[in-house]
Amino acid sequence: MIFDSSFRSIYSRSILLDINYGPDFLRSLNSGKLYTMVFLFIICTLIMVAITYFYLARKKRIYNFQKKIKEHLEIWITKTILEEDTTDEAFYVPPKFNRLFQHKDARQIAIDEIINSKKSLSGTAAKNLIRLYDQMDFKNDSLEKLKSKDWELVAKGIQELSLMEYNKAITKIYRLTNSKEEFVRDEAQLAIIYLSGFKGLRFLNVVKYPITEWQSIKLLEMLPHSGVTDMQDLPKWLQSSNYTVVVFALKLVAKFQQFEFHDQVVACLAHENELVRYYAIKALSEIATEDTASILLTHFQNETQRNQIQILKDIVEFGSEDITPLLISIIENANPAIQLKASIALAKISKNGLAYLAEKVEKQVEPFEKILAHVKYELE
Amino acid sequence: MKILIAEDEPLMLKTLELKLRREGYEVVGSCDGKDALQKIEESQPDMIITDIMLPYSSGLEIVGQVKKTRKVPVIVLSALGQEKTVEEAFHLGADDYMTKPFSLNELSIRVKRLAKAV
Repeated sequence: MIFDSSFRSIYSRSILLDINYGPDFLRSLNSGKLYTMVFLFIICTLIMVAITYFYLARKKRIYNFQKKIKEHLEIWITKTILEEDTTDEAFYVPPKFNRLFQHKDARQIAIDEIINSKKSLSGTAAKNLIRLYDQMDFKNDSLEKLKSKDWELVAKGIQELSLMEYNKAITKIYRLTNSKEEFVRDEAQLAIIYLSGFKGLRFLNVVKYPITEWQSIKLLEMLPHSGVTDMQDLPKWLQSSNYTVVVFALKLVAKFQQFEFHDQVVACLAHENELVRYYAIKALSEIATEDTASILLTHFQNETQRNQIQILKDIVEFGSEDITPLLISIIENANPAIQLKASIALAKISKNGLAYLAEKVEKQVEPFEKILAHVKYELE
Repeated sequence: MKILIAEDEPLMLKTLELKLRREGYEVVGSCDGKDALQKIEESQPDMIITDIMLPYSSGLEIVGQVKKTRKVPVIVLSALGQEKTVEEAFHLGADDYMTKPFSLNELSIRVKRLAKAV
């Protein structure tokens, strides 16, 4: 009893008093009110259960409906894909599909199936898929998506139109290459390149938003690997006020070895943005002339450590004996990390490089003894 | 000749099945890696065509498992940018590969070439 009453008092103090209901609240709870509350709670629970049940049942019905349509469509699309007839005669469409395609959802299922297959197939099969998309006027659904306020739908519409090679939509897609929505912009830029190759790069003239590292990788991957054309705007891109456009232009120079733009790339070494200068250094190593190494070394002192290391790494590929004095002056004055990279470059470029370093060890053991060991290891 | 195709895209699987059936092959289809390994065990196919990206067990696991015990030719289907994985597949014993998007006619030529060698 003692335990019981003390427990009750502790309980009421710690729980009920702390949450400010106070003893008045408990006293006001007569059995009638309590029954009403329990009843309301049960009703609410039942309503929740019913809503969940109907929601899941509806979801299941939609899933089964989609599954059924898919099964029917798959057989028809598969047969169409394998059609070997090269004449432009229309594909056979079973009458039940004509009725089915009056529903937007059914059309979207068919579009998704066609798009997914197009991603995996080329040749006649891919041509058949494009012809089918065209014949069923699915392009209207995709074009409709471009007008949506939902950016996900817009991006989906762009992807559909580009994969189906619907060139008539180029102007509409081009406008979206500068969209404020990143996904729409990215998808539109990729679509333009997919549809028009190098010509599509003209979006670089107008894009105000950043081109991310990932997007630039995808764009470079999508560009054809040979037959470079339409690069006449490169000098304009290299001077763009959007620094990410300059970085991308430098990547284009490097990947497609645009030797004729050497001077414009050199001008980028004076750019205020460190990343631009970094990619300018990398681009120059791909289009190097006999002057490039000394040009890079004249910019060396004003560079950040990251860019200095990049210069020293790259000049090994194209530097000549002429830059030996510049390298020696760097070794004399720099910090140990730079001294090491400069020493490696010297040993690889100059035939007397190793002898010079051995001499340095005799005069100044630290850090040159360790540097020489590293250099020898690198040369092995 | 019996060919097992492991591909997780149902429409792609159906297309490949129908294409090869029309060319006179007996085809067994599978839409995930685990099921494919089981069907290989059961049906003992003479050739295997497998996608690299499969649920439960990857195409690489299929190549590795099959080549440990049998001399069945394997064609690997890969997506663009999976060059490293293709290298690994060859290391495990794959006989040929095709990068998506690929032509069905080219696939059937490669199947015929490997079938001759069996």
